[in-house]
Amino acid sequence: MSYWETFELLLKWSPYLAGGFALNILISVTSMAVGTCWGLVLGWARGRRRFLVPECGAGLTMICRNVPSFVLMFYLAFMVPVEVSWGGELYLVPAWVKASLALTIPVIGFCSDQFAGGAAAGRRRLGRTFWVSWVQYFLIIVMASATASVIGADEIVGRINTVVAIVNESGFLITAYGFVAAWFILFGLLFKFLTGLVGKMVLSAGKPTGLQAQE
Amino acid sequence: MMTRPALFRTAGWFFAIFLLVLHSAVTARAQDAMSRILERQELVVGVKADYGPWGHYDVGGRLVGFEPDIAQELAGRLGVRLRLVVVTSANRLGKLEQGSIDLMIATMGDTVERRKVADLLQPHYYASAVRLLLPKASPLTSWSQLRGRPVCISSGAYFNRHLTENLLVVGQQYAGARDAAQALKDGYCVGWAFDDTILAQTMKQPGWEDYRLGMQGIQETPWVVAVRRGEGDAPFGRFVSDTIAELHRNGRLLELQEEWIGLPSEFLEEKKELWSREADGKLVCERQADGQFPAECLSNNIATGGGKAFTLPDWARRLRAGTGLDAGSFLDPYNRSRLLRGFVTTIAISVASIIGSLVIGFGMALAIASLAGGTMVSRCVAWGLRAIIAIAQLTPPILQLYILFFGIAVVIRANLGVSLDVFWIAAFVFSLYAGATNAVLIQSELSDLSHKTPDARPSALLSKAALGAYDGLFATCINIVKAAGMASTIALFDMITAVNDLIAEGADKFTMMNFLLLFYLTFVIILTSAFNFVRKRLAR
Repeated sequence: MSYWETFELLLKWSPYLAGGFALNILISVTSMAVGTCWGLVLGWARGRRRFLVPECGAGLTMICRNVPSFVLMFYLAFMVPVEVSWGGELYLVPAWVKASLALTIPVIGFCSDQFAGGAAAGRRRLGRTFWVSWVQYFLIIVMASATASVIGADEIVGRINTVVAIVNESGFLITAYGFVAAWFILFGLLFKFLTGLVGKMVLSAGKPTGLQAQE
Repeated sequence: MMTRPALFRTAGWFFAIFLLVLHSAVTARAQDAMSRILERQELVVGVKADYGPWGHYDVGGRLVGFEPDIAQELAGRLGVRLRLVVVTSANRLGKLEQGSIDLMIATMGDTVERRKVADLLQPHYYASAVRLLLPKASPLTSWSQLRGRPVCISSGAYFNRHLTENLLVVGQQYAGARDAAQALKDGYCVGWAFDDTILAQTMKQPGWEDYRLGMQGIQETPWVVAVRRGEGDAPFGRFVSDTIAELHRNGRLLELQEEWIGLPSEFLEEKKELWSREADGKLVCERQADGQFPAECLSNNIATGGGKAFTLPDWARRLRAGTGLDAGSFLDPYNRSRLLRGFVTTIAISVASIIGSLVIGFGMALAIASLAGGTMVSRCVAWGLRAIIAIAQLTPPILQLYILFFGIAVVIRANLGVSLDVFWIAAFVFSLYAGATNAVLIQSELSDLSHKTPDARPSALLSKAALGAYDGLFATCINIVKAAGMASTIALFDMITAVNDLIAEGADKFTMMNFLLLFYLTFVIILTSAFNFVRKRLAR
């Protein structure tokens, strides 16, 4: 296959791949949104003085922080049934929902730590560092969403595997993976650029601090 | 603040409660398969996509083949839509157990072990044996010569245990047939051990002219369709069995075989004769009054996965009866040795990646700092390093693994004759991915410090920068340990591979998955404590 043919082939499949990439973004946005809310609740709880409240916050945070999302994906794939019947109706639990759930857990741990650490350092510092590391963390989650195909989510890596199986030519595999990598890189650069602009406009930019992103 | 032991205790309690809740959620099952299929008007069947004429994508991207056609026959008789789901040897039993599919027709051999995991339905619809695909130039001619040599196999194949335990080959395990085939071509092994049927098909494809089908067929085994445990004797299981019997009788399976595979099949001819045999004007192989087929129609002369027999001790059987926890995987010596191997590999890859990421991080940061403000050339080099960092950070590590393993490593072998071990490929990818983040952290500290003391050389400031960036570096290291499980996708035999294999072979998924989760939780907490300990030492 010539370079031009390979390129044409990849271009032909691009709309299909774009659909998969949209799922990567959906998974990442869902995990970040849900995870941030719960993380803030846990982080807040850790600062309370009520009976057992800080213990709950710290205990749950510890689990969320230390369990790898890649392992959690397998865990949820095996442990959560694919169909749940509730009130006489059948509901599907698609693989991407399980993947989102698996990626939500580390986000909770991260946001709880950010909130608890930031609250100790004072309110102004909290807003600034939180934005900078939250943005970094979003990118890490986007990168991690590429693993969702291992449990059958129909995202871009899963779809490129399908394309490779359909094309079935040796040598195509490596170009195809490189092509998908380029999607992630372009998205990351664009995202960094845009959030950099927002950061400059809304907040006075801060440099990344010790509270680093951890997935 | 809580004291540390109190924190561990609380975390432990939460974990226990979490498991209890999950356990009850999992044991609550929906109604039987037949009524669910009819309710949703859809039959979901797991088939292969990497198995030539039995199941593959056509040029239009549709799943077609011998097995999808059998699925279509079933859906047609039920009068419902058919949805095909791609499965691999490694995940097909898992998908069935999870409920992702109602039925599996995915080139699976009938074995004693698998009969414990799912309900396997007779009659069998095909048969195959294990042979080896190897380069024509290879001098190897018998299985015994493979002792101690690397052989490509795919996860979840029933004969893997026989090959590694009795024939003592070094199994290089891949996620699916496509990856194993690619690995053989890339020279990761001396041959690819697989079903003779698929190997014969593969050989006919372009690009395989220099390979031959070698070794005597061993472990002959009939192929079987499977439903979830408990469904075999329920309406759905009986419907599937009856339909397959009918497809033998009316010659439809022989037709499909002719259409898709083209080779004569003695097995199918025999089955057709058996299932249409009549005595006194009545079919011999029909369901009896008790609802079962007569024993002479069923074949129970099936392979076991091989290996030494293992019986569960009494206390373990009582534990399983009482709590549902199955200690079998930890007691069976073969399984235990696999878990141990996975354990050692996971620890080793974590340590190698941590060291690698720190070396790359410090190296790159120092290089960029030293090159900054120099000549045009050195500025270009610094810019190149920054580009590498950006690419390493913004490419998902799982893709980096694929690209390096199936691409760059192959080019290196072809040109330099050096073969890279999968362990070092994975360690390199993780070191680079985490090293890029580390470089950014150290470099940001370095530039801060050099603003304060403009005269100092960057290398003199390095240890100070390391202290300043300690928390960040520590977080990246933990992060990479958590991500290292991804290497299981390129055939690194780590903890995740070991546990997934055991589940595919029938180990209790509840026990094994919680064991895996607990293992990682403990491992990461121990690492965190180690890092905190070092920090305290450094602060003093």
